[in-house]
Amino acid sequence: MKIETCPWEEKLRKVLAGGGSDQALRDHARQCPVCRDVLVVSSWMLKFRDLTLDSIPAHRPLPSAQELWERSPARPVDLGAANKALKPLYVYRKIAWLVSGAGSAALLLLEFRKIKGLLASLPGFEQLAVFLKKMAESGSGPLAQVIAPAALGLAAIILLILVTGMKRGDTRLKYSVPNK
Amino acid sequence: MSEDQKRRDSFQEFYDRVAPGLRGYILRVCRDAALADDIFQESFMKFLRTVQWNMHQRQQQAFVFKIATRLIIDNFRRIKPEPLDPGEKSGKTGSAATSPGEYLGPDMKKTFDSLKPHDRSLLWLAYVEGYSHEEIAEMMGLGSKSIKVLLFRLRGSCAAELRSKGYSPEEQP
Repeated sequence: MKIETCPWEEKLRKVLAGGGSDQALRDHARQCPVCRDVLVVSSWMLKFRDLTLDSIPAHRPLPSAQELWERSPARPVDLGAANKALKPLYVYRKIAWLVSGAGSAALLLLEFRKIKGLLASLPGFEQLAVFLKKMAESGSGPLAQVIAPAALGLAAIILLILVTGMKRGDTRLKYSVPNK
Repeated sequence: MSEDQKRRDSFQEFYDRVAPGLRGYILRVCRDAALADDIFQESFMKFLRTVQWNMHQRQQQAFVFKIATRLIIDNFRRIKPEPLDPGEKSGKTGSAATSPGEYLGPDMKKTFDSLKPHDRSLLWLAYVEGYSHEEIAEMMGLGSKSIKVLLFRLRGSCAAELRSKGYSPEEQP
């Protein structure tokens, strides 16, 4: 089946639906069989729309916009108010991080001897300490000079990623932020 | 003015402009005033839950029509061929068209009601709201090529029927 179309068809429909009256389009519609059909159906449908709106029973009034707004259970969150309400929680969380960090550091300093003894009792720790000592005494060749800081740096980066990742996952907002 | 108040005012303005037309659309496609009211309110509830306020007004309008159309489609099985207007049941429907330009009222309803709900929806969206094939396709969950074919068929059959009943807009003032 061949579908007859006209490039003006959609424009004509849009203009007529918007209540406009473009004389050039109307002139075109008189010549074009597709647009002539569009004109017939469109003008009939628009009259039908008017008839429908006029005949909507008066005893069934529209609910007010205010009513719908109030009844909407999940209308967009006021982010300013939400952040203000959550501020004590954020502050408390920061304090908790500071206290636990300071406590850990104090514990490490106070119990350094015990921790050192505990680490020394771990299997393999003694060999590692000897290896590092030997490296330091051997005049620290260029390879040793690179490996030791690199290993320490890598360990620090891994630790940092783990800690910050845990923190980020914990503090993410639980609702979406609408686009501005 | 707070963001919430701005959105409330924006919604009020949008609602005043769109609500009557949307209600007419749902009412004519469903032909059941109670069901139409349910769909109308549910449409705006869903709209308020999901709308992005930075959308253009026409996009917002298309969005609420899309929600309503999807709800109508979900309720197609509940749509029964019952007359909407009290006069139709008792047969007091007035006279038929008396002149070429007066093919209105009961005859219009009869012609429109004789269509399938799907076709009624399609005709309204295309010729009353003036949406493009792509917009209607998005609303109805179909391809734009299918909409083009369906509208072509509907346009042809409707135009032929209207002409056969003497309706001719070119002759009107």
